[in-house]
Amino acid sequence: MAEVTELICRARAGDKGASDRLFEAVYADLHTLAAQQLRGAGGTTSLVHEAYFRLARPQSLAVGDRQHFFAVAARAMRQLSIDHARRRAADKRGAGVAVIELDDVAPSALARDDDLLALDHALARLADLDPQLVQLVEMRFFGGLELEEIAALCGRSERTLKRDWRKARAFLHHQLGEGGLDELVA
Amino acid sequence: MNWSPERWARLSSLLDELLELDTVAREQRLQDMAREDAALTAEVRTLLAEDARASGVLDRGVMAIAPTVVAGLGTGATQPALPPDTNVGAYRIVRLLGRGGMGEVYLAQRSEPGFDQQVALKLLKRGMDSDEVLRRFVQERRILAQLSHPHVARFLDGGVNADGRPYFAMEFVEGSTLTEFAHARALGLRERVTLLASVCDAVAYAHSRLVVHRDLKPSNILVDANGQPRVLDFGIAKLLDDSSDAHATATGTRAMSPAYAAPEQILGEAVGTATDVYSLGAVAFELFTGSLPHLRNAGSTEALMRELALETTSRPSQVLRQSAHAHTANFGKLDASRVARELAGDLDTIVLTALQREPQRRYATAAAFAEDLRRWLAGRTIAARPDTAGYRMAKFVRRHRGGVATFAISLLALVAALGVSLWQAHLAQQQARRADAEAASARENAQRSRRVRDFLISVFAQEDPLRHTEGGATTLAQAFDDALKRVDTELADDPALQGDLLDDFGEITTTKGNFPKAQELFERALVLAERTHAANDPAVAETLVNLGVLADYRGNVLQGKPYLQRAVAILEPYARERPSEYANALSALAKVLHHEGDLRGGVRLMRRVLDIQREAKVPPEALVAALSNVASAQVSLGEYVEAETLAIEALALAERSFGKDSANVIPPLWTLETTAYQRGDIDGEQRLVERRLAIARARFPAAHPWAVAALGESGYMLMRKGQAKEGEARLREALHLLEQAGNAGEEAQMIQRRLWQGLRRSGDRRAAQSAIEAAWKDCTSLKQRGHKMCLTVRANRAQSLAEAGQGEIALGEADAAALALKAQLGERSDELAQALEARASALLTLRRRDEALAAQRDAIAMFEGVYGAQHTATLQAREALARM
Repeated sequence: MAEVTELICRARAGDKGASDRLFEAVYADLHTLAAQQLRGAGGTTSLVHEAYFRLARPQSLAVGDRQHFFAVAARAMRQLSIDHARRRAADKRGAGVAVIELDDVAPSALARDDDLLALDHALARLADLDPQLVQLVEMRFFGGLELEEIAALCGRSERTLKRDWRKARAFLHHQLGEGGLDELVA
Repeated sequence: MNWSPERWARLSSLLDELLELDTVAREQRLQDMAREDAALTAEVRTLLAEDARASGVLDRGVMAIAPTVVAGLGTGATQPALPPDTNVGAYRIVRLLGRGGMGEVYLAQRSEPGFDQQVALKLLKRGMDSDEVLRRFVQERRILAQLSHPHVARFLDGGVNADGRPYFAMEFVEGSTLTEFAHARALGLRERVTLLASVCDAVAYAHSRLVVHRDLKPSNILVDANGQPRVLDFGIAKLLDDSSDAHATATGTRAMSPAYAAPEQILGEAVGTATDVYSLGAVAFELFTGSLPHLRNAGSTEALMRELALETTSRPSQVLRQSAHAHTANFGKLDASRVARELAGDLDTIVLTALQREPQRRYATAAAFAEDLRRWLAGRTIAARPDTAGYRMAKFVRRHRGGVATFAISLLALVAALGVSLWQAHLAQQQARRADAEAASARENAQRSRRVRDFLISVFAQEDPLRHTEGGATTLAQAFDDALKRVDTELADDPALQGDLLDDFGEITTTKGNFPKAQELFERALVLAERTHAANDPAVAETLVNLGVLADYRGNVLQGKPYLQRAVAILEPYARERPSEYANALSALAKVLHHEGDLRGGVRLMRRVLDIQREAKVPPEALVAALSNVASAQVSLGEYVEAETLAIEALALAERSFGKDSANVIPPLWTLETTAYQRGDIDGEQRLVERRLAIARARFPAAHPWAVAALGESGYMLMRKGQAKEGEARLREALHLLEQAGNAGEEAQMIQRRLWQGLRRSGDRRAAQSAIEAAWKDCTSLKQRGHKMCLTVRANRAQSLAEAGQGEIALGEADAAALALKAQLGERSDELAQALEARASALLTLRRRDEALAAQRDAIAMFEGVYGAQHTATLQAREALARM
């Protein structure tokens, strides 16, 4: 536990090695947590929050460190989701045999993984332009944190964040083209 | 558009400015900007347009968009795939084919030389109760292995792997799913129907061997390169279904896709061959239109139940015509509207019949379904379907056709083909009755009304498959409005019938959700009923009850009280003849009393309902519900012993009638947990909580209020047993599920309270206070401050305020809560004791030590009175006293 705190500290100070190790630790932990989750279609908030409870003692982290942790966790969630979507998309195109899907809600689950991958691409594009917006999207969309929570963590006003969110969203929708995410109905 | 960082920086700061402006100011600014830099302005406008369009899908998070992805996060890579040549039972792995929520699927071969047969080997993931699965498998194996049909993928074998994971081996089918196949080959409608008919044959065959599939969906129906469909996984769902492991992934592993599942499956009721028919109907719908018949949001809560009750299916042809998803189906060169025309009429009827909400109204067998499909292909008239409105309607009209004058009223164009109107038939029947008016008793009239009502409700509450006119289907809504107008004009000479029908239409309008309109209709119906019947005629009571219940739907339960009181008074002498009507009126009134805080009055009424139902020998679910309701009301009043007796009876009845794992078991379990707590039997309580959790998760979607409540309670249980972090995580998860579904209210408040209790236990008072503040905010915005739950929240909040040093406010709040709780619950209750403890804390903060000690002693005495001297609640209160 203390390691993580230290990793965060060093990562924030610019230690790239520590940063990588932190990411790996969080990624692995989220993965394990997801595997242990009580139910399949759960919220990502609980995953990220649970990772937080487990890896980093809430009391011992200063606000800046907490923010860092959640940012990393959200990034890890994104990576996890994309990795998984990528694997599934590959599987589907593979043998031509349907993968057994549970919980398909969408009319065409085929499109879903592709959409997530497209979103990932769009986010990569946005990263070149405005990395802070990307972090916001990661924390909210993948990490499942509420704007209120993000505001508290990052020390910015909710109002500014709302505006940033709209900008990010407009950009992403634009990148994904007509239809894009709107075709996805949950 | 590809922007450079500099360009984006400019756009970003412009957006910062523009997003804050209102439409008018924004437009002005944009026009000013355009004069300076048209290109930049155009780009900004594009982004603003996206902002305006945004559907909020991104706002809901990755789980809303791709639940399967998130669900799958826990699978797969924790278990690396088995490498080729590994042995599993009698088979040897060739390669991994894919992964799903259940586990992995491999291509495998029999290990013995000389056997070239390729199989699909499904290896289930760890955590599924292997012993249980195996036990069931052994029971079913012979039956499943005997399924031999050209369109059924052969089930070969099963067992347990060396590492303890169960596996099933089946015939390997190489192909694409039914919908993908149709899409890829751009099949026309007739070809799709032919395919589906073959699938139905397969299902019918399995049914004849007493195997229900339970999880039919396109991904379980593969089509090979020769265009032959093969259905996979017969019976697997059943094998996995009953294995309940509370720690494994619950809803996700439940082998049922909500989109294709029949209502009875979703509600956890009995499943049968008609269930498969429904799923086939859903597959047909998707195959023919590219869209699913229903979007089932697993995320909605009480709305899900009501959603299910109100769910109507649009006709496939209409959906196709209106849909943007037509391309998903891909009919190749044919365009969607042409296909829609082909679909309209009989094929619409066929699909909708399979998708009827009630099982008995669907095709009784998959074979019947296939038969009608083939009749359609052959251009023949499709068969009559028992129990559909059309059938009943036709029979009804035939009965009354003789000697009816033709005039041009037609209520619904339903009978256009038959040339006789429903209204005429009724009027004719009514003329006949008038002829022996003297002899006609009030009861006969009521029965006639009921027939009319049943028919109409069956027509309107579910879209009638026969509704079809040339040049596009007139919607039922239009027909309904026409009918309503005609009730006024054409039935002016029969106010009794008018009243009856207005009442019926009121009920229908209520199910459609248009409450103000329904109110109007009921009020008119009441006036007419009072005019044409005696003031205390049961027919009047019917409308009165409707008005009372409608008030509840409209969010103001109390407004219904006068209606319901009158209704109860009218129906009392008819208690024996009309037990269910009387019971309904009583239950509705009981709810009102409950709401007013008159719990004792409410319980009294519910007891009467229970007695009536016992005597009237109502179906078991009604009796279980009545027993559970009285039991939980008695718990509220502190009558624990009686509550436990009734709950035990309810539990036994539910288990006997529905099985130990049925959802009907949950309400009595809930009550028994409370009485176990009261007795101080924490282990017994935990067992009950875990059982309830397992059943709730197996039977309901994760966000269903019962599943969430069970999750919350188990979280609290963990916290009580010292597993604070896990308990808290569960509670927060439960809260999150509720919030996501937009559900505030009593469930969320309860969970916040549990969080408060648990967090205080682990010493985190700050977090506890946040939780209780959130609950209080909820209570305030929902205007529920007078409800028992919110009063308890108020008391708990007072405690936190006191501990945070705000003595004055805390005292005021604690006292207010105590007063109201006393009024509602009587002199002695757990909740009142909590308010007293809060009072004690407040007084202590205000340094009024003697009074504080006295208040705490009062609290201790009250706990003792409710639970006894040795109960944890009492002991904890004593400890608190010692600390003072």
